[in-house]
Amino acid sequence: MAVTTAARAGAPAVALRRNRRPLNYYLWRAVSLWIPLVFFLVFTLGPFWYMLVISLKDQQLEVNDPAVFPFWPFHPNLNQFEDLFARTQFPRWALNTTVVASISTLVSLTFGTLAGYALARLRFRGASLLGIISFVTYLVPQTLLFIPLNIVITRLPVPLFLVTVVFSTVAVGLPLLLLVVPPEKRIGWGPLAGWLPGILLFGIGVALGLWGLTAKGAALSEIELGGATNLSNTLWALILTYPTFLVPFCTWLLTGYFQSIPRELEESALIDGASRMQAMLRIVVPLAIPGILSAFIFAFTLSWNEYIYALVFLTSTGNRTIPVGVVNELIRGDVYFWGTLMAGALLGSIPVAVVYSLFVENYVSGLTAGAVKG
Amino acid sequence: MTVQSTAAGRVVRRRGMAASSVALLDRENVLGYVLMTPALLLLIIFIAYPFVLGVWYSLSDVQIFGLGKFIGLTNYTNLLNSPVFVQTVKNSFVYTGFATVFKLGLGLGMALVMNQAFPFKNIVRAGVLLPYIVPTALSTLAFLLAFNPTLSPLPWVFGPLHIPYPPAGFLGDPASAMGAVIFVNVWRGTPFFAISLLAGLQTIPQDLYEAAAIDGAHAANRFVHVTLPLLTPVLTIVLLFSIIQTFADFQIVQVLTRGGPADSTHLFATLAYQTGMQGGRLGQGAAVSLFMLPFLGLLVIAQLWYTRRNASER
Repeated sequence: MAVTTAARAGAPAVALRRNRRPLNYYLWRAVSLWIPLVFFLVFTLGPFWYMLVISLKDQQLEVNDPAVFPFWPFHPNLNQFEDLFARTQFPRWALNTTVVASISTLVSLTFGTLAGYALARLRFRGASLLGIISFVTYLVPQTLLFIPLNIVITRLPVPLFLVTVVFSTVAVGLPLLLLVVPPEKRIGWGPLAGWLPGILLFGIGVALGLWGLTAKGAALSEIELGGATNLSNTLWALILTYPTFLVPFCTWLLTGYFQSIPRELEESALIDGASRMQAMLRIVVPLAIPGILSAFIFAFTLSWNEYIYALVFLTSTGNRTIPVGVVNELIRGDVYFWGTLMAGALLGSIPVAVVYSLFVENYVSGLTAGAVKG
Repeated sequence: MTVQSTAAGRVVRRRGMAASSVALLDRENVLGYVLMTPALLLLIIFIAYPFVLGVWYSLSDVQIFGLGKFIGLTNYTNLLNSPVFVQTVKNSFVYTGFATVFKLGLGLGMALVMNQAFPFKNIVRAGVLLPYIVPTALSTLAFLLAFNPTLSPLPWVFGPLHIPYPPAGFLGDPASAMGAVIFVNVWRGTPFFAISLLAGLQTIPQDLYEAAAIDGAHAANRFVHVTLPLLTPVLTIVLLFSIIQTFADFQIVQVLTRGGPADSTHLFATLAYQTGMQGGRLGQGAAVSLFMLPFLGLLVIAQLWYTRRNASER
């Protein structure tokens, strides 16, 4: 309050002083701020402008003629975008990417929340070692293990239907718990009370849908519920492996976040007769939602953008994600359809850009969590 | 202790049969492992197991099928005797070194510029981070066209500045191809440095600058004696993280050059992909990847040590 009044009282004085600023001030401001700022903006955003222009240009008249000024579309049209949807499998790649990114993100958030809470709050043997392991695996780049991991994918039999049900139940249950039911409504309910059967049923429904979508082209009627199969060329190869780099990150980020929430809050809940699980689900997790959002936006962009696992583990054209599909299926031989390529690149970037713009602050705090908090 | 037992007692009365499992979950050393289990299972199956497998493969002559037979360090010695691999090692350090220096310099400059007050600051800050957010493989396509020999728009920029544009494009000859992939990496990574360092700058208390100004320190002095020392923790962590990512980079080179021309831009990851996946020599490919391990291991240990030291100091 005191600060605002002081600022208001000072405002006219500042305005007066601004009128008397010498030319030197504006020169200095241009050199130290505006010129470098414009340079950095052109440097970072220029390529996106260029992509947009190429995707809108008339390909024959403009793109393939080096004598035409390249940074403006003189005959703008949407033909490239039409081609992308009509002549390539882009819609299918978009669906694949959405399914993979959403499920692996939600599952990683759940696993990371549980592990992060354990590491932040509970005393058990090996806790600090597990903390180190989660930090180290978060730093391990995907390019270190993709060859042996591909062998695991092509040879390890996995009870795929069981995994489908578990993962979709977790993925469906988490947003239901956090978003549909407001925290104050959940206080006083038993552990997940009436929700668990519903979530389970809904999860099985989603699982069946996913099964049809992601398994090796099996029709729903041919499902062998108990059978085990390898993951080669199924989207499950990605849904199961993306959490290997998402879970350590979420765990590490959320451990830090949980530690910043005062212990007293859950201790009073424990004294009132809540179990540890209840204290965690009803007191700590709702308070950690900003941290969980940071982890969410990070996990979502990382899994949407992932390239090498998607390139190696999936082999058929229909099973691509957007980054691999656009780069590897639209560039064939020596003929480049630059407009379609840029249209695909732009459309494939828009979902992450939108999600990011909705949660910029959470993203930046996640980005700098390690660096600034230490 | 009494508090815990009464809490447990109430729960027992309320729940009857289910209570024993609830009480069990109230013991920290039980609940701790239960909560860690899903994460640990994933990491054991898809990180630890492949890692062991990878080490075994790098010591065997495995092709597409079977387990192969043990051939000791032959894969590694073969690699060390192969000119392509030696070239790759050099490339990786050149790529990482130059890219990191430029990202650090530009990122620090960008952070200092954006640390001033100006209109639409939040939008600008969100916008400049876009190169780091969007899929790298896709944004690299813009550069694939920009470096094209005939369709490149760069002569329009270079012409007025009287800089010659190479007739084979930037990806046509070894030196400029390396420069080109480094440029794209710098474009992608600079915003990460800038935004992280900006967050670090904003934690430096303003009165330190005022005190230094009163003591007669000029802008340059203030930067060297106030900004830099206080920025060092953030700088170190961001730097180590970025070096790890750059050293293990794959997408930019794979999309732009696939390691060419004449293997002049191969990095460990692209060579591993070419050898192991496209060439089908899994053991050799796994060995190429694992060659990254000593350097990455050092960086990870440094990162771990530094982060923990910082945390314990507070």
